Amino acid sequence: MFQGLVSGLAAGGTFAALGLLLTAMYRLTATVNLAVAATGVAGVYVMAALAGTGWPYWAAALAGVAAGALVSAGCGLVMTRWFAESGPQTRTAVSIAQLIGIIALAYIAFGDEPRVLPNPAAGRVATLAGVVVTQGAVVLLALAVVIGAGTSLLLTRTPLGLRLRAMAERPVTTELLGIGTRALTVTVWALAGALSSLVLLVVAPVRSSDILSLSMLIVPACAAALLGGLRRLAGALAGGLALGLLEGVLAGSAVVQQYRDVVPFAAILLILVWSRRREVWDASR
Amino acid sequence: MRRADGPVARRTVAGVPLDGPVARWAVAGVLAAAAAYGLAAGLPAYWVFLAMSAVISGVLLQSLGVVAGQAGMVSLCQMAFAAIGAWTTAQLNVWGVPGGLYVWLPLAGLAAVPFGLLIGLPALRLRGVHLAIVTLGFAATVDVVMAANSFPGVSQGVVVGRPAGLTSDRQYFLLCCGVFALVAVALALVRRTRLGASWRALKESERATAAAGTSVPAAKLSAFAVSAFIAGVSGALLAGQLAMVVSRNFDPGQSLVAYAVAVMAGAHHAEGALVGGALGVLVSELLRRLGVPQQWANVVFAVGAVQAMTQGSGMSDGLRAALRARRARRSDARHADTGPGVSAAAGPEAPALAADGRRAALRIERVSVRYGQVVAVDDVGLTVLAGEVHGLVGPNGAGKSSLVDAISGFVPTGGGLVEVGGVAVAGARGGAAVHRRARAGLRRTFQQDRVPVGLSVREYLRFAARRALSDAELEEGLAGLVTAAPGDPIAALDVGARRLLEVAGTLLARPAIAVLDEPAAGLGHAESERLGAWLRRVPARYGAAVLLIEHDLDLVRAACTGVTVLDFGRVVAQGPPAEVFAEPRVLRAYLGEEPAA
Amino acid sequence: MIAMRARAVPLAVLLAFPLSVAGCGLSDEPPSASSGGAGNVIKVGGVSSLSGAVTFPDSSAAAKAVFDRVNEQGGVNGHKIEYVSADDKGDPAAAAQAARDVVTNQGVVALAGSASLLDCAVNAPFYQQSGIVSVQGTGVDPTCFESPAVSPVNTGPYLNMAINLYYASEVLKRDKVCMFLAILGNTNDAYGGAVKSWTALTGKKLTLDDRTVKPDSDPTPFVLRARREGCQAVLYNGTEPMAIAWMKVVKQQDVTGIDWLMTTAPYTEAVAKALGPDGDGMYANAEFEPFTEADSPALKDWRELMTAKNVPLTSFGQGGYLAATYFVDTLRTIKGPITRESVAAAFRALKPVQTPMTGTPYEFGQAARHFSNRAGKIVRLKDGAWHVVTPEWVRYPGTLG
Repeated sequence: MFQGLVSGLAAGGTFAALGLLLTAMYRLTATVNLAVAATGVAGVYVMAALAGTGWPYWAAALAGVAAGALVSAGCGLVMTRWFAESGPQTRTAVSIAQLIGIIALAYIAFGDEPRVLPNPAAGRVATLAGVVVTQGAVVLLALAVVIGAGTSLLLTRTPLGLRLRAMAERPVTTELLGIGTRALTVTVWALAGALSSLVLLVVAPVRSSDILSLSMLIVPACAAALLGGLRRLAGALAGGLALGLLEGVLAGSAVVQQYRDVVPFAAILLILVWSRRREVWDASR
Repeated sequence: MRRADGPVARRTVAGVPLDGPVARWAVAGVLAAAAAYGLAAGLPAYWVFLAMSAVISGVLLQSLGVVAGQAGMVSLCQMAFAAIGAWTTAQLNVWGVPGGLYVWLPLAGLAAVPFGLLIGLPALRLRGVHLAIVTLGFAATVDVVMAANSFPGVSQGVVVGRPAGLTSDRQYFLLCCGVFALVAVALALVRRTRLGASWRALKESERATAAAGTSVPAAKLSAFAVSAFIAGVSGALLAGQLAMVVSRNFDPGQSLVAYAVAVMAGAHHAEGALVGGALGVLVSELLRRLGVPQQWANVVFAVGAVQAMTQGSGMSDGLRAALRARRARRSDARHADTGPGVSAAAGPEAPALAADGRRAALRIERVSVRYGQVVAVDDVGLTVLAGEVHGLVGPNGAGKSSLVDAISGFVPTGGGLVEVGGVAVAGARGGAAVHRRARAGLRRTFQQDRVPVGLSVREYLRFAARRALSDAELEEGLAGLVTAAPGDPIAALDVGARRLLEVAGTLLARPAIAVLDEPAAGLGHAESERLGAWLRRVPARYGAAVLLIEHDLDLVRAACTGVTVLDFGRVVAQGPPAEVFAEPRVLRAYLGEEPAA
Repeated sequence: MIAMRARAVPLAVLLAFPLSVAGCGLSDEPPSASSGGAGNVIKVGGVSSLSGAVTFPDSSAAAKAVFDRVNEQGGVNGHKIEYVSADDKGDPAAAAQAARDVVTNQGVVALAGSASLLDCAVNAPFYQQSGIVSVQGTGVDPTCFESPAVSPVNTGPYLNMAINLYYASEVLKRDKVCMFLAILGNTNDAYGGAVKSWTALTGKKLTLDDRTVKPDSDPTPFVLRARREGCQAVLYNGTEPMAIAWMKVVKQQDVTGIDWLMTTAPYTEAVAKALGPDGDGMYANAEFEPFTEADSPALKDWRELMTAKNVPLTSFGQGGYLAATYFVDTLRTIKGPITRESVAAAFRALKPVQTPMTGTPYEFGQAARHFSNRAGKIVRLKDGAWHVVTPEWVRYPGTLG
């Protein structure tokens, strides 16, 4: 049991970090950016391609992060250019289209043979209950906490955060007030892309898989974000960790073998419906 | 359009008029059937297979058209429903259930329905992005379960057999066309019913849907059930087409692409679904011929979907709008516009007021509304007699809208009583649901524009009235209020006209009491005056009492025989307008805020 | 107008029915109508996963190399071979479309050297219906081994697994044998059949049978579970990157004393290079004469041809080479015109073919299912290079299913 918990730490950090990115972007740009993991994957593959041509790892990784930021900024540009006044549902639908597009373009650009990726954080940190905790797990957890804390500080303590929140909630009004919104919003998108690339640079070598399944890490990330109601950062952090630990515990046990993956979905659905049981109507009045 | 039946020389074929809608539909049906048969007989075998794939994905897209296109709920799990349908077909095949695909198709659809309802249930509370994520999670979950358990018969090499008469691909293609046409026709039929209108109303506003007497849970669940049924049937068709299906046929990525294609093509119309299905196949075939990587197809769909969303409508909407514009130009040329004018409210009939012995249309007692610590409405009582137009006025924040919400059932009445035509709809032990109150004769309009833009004027009025209306009734209902023809799409009306249309629909329902929340907002002074005169005649024309919430005191004076003034959630005065507006308390409460009155 | 339209609707419904009834007159033209062999060219097809999540490009490339060489040497009885290789994207719909294109549109006489995750599952019924045979280069999904129309040259993951089980319990003499599987598509029952067959053969049972690994799973919890349950030998069916991730975790977590037996999939140079010494103790099962043996006489022709035609040296390339070779040899036995029918008849009459590259002879014949390659050689990773540990073929004595 305890072993399972420890072995789920890395997964927990991944889900939490991506879930926090989703939550932060929802609060700052009013978009559930389903393509956020895919932008990170794009970054990882740029890194792999450059490292393959002989670049040193750190330079390739840096370029990968920049590429992730660029891809995400592109998505943000589309969003601010044509969907500044659309509701969250439309923006989310747009991000679905962007997700499909990014995955397809990544397959075209980088081919489809799975790559062996260098692992920047393979070393070991400690041994807990006979389980070695890797640097990767620690880095992911740290990234999650940094993203959460950073967003929280930005939102509550800085005038910039206030402006961003105002933009997300009332884009037109803010524009009328003469606050330059587009550049700011695109910056938020770029930042999210860069952070997502960082997360995936650490995750991808461990989960070692192709573009599609890495992009689909968005599903557990969404679950984590939903546990925080897409608003509470702490909730997303806790939700992501809980999901990862649950994955670790379930993978190490013999119960509910076949339907192991149904368990988190069912749990999230129940929590979500319970927490929103009073949301009988679509609009508040 | 009605105008098409005008006294114009008709084209005829063998004495059959070609102009009437019946004839037009018949011709379209015959042409479609001939086209399908021609394709089946004439295309090379390979293209028949491609066309079959296109039509089957067209069926799937129609299922998305219901739940996403019409009802406006994001569903990213249609492939999961299709997988359940295909699974059922494979299982029925292994069991050797008699009847072949003819029987398996509907059974496969039915098997998907419980799952549709299962996803519909959380949709009662989750919407927009939350629902999108939950449906995506459901798709991923079904995928995992399906992958872990092979499709029935696959391991034994048992393929899904086609019954006699469908064995060749050409015949099976015709079956697919037939199923597509059946689904399209059935959906077109449902579109005319209140159920179909309720889906599109849902997309605009759940509150307005309930206030029109339609159960929101029923509308949502039915949309998901119908959608799951159609998707299940498409899965069964796929199983019959390929003879063997595996879980990868239905992976969640496919559901996402299907959603993008549905948005791009506008799958809520049959032709949009067909175009979407054909695009899916043609783009992929074209890329293959050109030797371009297949992934470009998804790039095309992604860009197309984004483009469609910037327009706010898919390809089929654009097509229909263009057709409508052309038809309108043609009929304008031969038909002078005789649409009703705003001024049709001629001689002001004196309201037929039988002074005594009148029943109360609406009676409320001890109604209170609290939001946390804030008391918005405090122990309010009010009676509107049958045949009366009663005003409810008060400064901003006086609790008028909260009171209306409590009366109509959106917030609890705090144990207060609400009676409609002598029947209690809310009391000490809670109240009836919004749509039940509406059906009991309590109708309301909204301050915000909540008229569903997806409907035509006629469809909306029939939806709101909850009964069949003849064109004469429609014209009468609109007369003097809105300048619009029954066939006009609501999307073409301005916001002021939509609000008046909402009033017209509310009154056509012939409620015991119509609660109108600021119907004059946004109207000019002259129009507002005319509305006042019109409202005064409502009890006589519709037999409905009116509770009018208004800021415009001139309108209240013109229309109302009684008035209630609210301030800080309490009733400060009640009586005939002339007396009430003379009271110092009222002047203080009211004029403090709006000295212009 | 509403009332009038409403009357039109039953009309449209009525129209829909005759539509399907009228179809009864239609039937597909006989599949051989457009059969290849037009002029001087014999068209041969292949349906392979060339793009998508998991790809096998080497098999069809190797088959093409064989056909090119045949053409350079004058063709088969004067006929040149044209090889039409279609991509199924790893997507069932595309696979069905590709097969229709190759068989119906292009009119190939047979399929050879296909390597796909799902070609058989999706298309085997269609091939059977069309009366066409497929000499599969790499059959992955179970249907490849369950159809009268398809006979793969490779062992396949299920028999591979059975051989590994047999090797672990009977040759390595491990008592606690565990199995972790990633179930992709409809492979669950086929792996189950392999385990059942091994149990029937040896009377032994798996200590642990976990089939919930997913391609994007973090392997850590699974590896730890294997250690906790005291497994002595662990069988895993991961693909290249999955196997690499798995062994890296093994190293990371300091798990020792367990033999890790993989299928053919990770038996590649890339895995050896990526893992280096981290991969020590990892076994794989070569379906053909192990291609990393540079001086094996059995591989001389294959190695020369692949090098000449710039095809990577992989196990999949061996499959494509063998499939094309068997195919050409069979073509040469046909007297009279080469059509879909004559090719199918030749394969139904085929006598078992033994080559030094496989442990058991290749068969087609009239059987309802084909499992002709029933042997493997076990290779082991040591210091970043593959070494053969069983110079003799490990032949599986049981049967599957």
